[in-house]
Amino acid sequence: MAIICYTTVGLFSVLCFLPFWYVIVYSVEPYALYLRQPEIPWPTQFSWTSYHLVLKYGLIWSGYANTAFLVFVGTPLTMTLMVVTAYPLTKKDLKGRNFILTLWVITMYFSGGMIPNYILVCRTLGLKNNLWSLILPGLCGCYNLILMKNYMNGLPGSIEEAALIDGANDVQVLVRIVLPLCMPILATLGLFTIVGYWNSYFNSILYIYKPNKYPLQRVLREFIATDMIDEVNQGVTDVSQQANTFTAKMAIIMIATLPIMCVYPFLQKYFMTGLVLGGVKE
Amino acid sequence: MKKTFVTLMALLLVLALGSSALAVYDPAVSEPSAWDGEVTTITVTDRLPGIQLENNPILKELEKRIGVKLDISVLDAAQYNSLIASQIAAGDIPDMFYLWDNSSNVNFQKWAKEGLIWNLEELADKIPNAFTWLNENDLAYGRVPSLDNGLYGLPRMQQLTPDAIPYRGDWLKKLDMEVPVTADDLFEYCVAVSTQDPDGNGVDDTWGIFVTQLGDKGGGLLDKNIREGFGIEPETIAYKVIPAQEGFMDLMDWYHDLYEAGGIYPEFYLDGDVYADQAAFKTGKVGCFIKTASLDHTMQYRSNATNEFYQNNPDGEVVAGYPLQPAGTTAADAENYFHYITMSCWGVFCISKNASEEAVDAACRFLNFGCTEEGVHLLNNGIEGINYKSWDPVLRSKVGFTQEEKEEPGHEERLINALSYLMVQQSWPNYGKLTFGGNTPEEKAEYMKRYNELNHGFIVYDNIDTYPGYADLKTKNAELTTKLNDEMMVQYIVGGITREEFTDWLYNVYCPAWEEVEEIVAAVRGPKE
Repeated sequence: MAIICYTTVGLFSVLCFLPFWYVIVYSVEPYALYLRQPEIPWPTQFSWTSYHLVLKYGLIWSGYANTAFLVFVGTPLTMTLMVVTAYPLTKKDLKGRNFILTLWVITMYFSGGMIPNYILVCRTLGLKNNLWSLILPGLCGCYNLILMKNYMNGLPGSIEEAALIDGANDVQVLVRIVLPLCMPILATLGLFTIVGYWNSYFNSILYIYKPNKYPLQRVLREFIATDMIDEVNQGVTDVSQQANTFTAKMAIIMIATLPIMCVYPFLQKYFMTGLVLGGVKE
Repeated sequence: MKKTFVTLMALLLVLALGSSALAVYDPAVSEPSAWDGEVTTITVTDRLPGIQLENNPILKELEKRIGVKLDISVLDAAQYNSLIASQIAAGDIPDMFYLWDNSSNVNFQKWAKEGLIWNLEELADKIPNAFTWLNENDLAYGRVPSLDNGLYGLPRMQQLTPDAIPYRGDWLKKLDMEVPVTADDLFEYCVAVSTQDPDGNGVDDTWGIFVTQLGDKGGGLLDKNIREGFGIEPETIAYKVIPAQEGFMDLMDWYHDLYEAGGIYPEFYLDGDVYADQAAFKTGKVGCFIKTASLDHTMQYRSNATNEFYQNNPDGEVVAGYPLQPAGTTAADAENYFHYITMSCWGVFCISKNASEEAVDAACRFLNFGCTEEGVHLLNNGIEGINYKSWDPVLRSKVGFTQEEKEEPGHEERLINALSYLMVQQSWPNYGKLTFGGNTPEEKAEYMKRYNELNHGFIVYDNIDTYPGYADLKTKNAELTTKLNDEMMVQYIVGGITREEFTDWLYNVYCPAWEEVEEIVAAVRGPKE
């Protein structure tokens, strides 16, 4: 039985890995070889031309910088707001608690729509072409908030009561007692948030119109969806030294995904645990 | 009357092409425009994927030459038109915007009707060059027929690209055949490629032709390079849609027989990739293709466009054949044979009614400048010494930097691209080609020669898309179009349905739905003779 399970899971893993492996192969293989043998499992010749030219392309680096801003500024803000919103909602004596929760839940099912959101973000808040437009509208998502609140609900109330009896105020209870106990859910939701910011591109389509403000995934999207090879090859007059559209696309996929891939194996266990944390109300 | 019209148009085009071939704009000797007034900033929305706008030397040059500073918003290219529409719906209208469509766009007509964009004819004195650079056929792409045919968008016309069918010259030699001229010749070539192993690898893995079926008018299957061999004319000449014309079933029978004989790449209908035909050609799987998107078949030497072909087929050769001619004609008749082409419009520029008077003036200055050789050159090629080393006005070609020059400090600044997507016009006057390819002066000269050879005998016809009433009819019959393109034609070609089943549907369902075309064309061109 174990053999069947391992074989099935192993084959499934290979199937998942195969497309990614081909991206790696195609990114370093000369395009002519790919055309002749697209199914070749490993490169027989290496060409780093695409990486060389793509890394010289200015928007890649501005994309990295912008995504770094979203991750390093957006994540702490999101986590802070989530904690200070979730904690009061665990208190049964909070007046209007159910009403506030209902308002939050409504946002899970209904949104204002694209044009009202555009009016709010771009015209009312004046955040057009501003990276804050990619952080503020989704700063605290209801789904993660409910996970956090449910996890906090599961903590023994007696610990908080003991701290209050010892003279701690509400803020001290939150910071010194509750948060240390919430580390698993904080790590999990923090990771969700980081990955979310890293992969976000849709809001940038709506609110960002200056290429130097594009986050990395938007640069990747523009590159994949449109043929930007002329921009990558700009200044390279020798045809043999120019990057090919296809291999350049493969190279830019690698460049845009490599950092998060390096981090992911170390944080994977939080993803696994995060699937059940806070999901059960006891 | 029709013959006189055709001859007249042909002469006009030959004259136009001749004059464009002789046009020798040279930035090295031409005095650039200079602006001594105040610089006006205007907000502009355009489709400029990947262009680096910061410190872009061309934008700075525009300020110096015409006093216009462009504050450009770049919208996601894949959703460009919807984003423009959303912005306008939200009341955020840029002073000037580019719409990646033409007058048939429903939103464009709506904005014109709601008074959100200027009728450019009211601004004609500020953009006189546009009315000399473009002819009435071109301007039709920006007109709204229901509003007194007003010009609400300035069309951006493309350069003339030679229509031709690229063949494997080396295979033609091996098979002891000439470049096909008629449909019969092409049939013979395709079957020979499929059955006689021209690549000599001992495996039966080559096919005569790859046809893509993309496009709202049947795509590659009804490509004008092929259909003219069956006497099929454009809708505005024949006063009928293509499937309603006599030669249509002859063309379908030809495909059907060719498929049966194994001459067509067997899975041509499965691949939705617009470049699938080129990929098959470049990999040496097929002997020709007819959807000529980017492989520049005017060249037989290594170049950017043909590089991949030659990498895969070091001993291969690309030769260009003319569009198919009617049965009974020969290559010698090509001189007297006319081929119909329609100019391609790649979007329109609109000016917002919300823009201030200064912004409207500045937008007009930009559009007017874009309709000059100086403007076209600046926006497409850039500035000498920055975007390219020098300009060869005779071969109409940029000369690049040497390796040593590339290693000089500051070369990085030269990597900022020209603003080709912001071009107001994408051709020299009369659709002349902007630049000629090739890596050496000899190759460039050869390219120019071949380009001009391939463009002989072409006549420009009106695209029916610009005729009042056609867009509505097209929308009404959208399902029929999809059924014809995606189902019925392919089914008949591959033997999925019989000829009777196909013609029964074609003549009883499809064609009657398009009868209105005759009236639509007659309303513009007068009754059919």
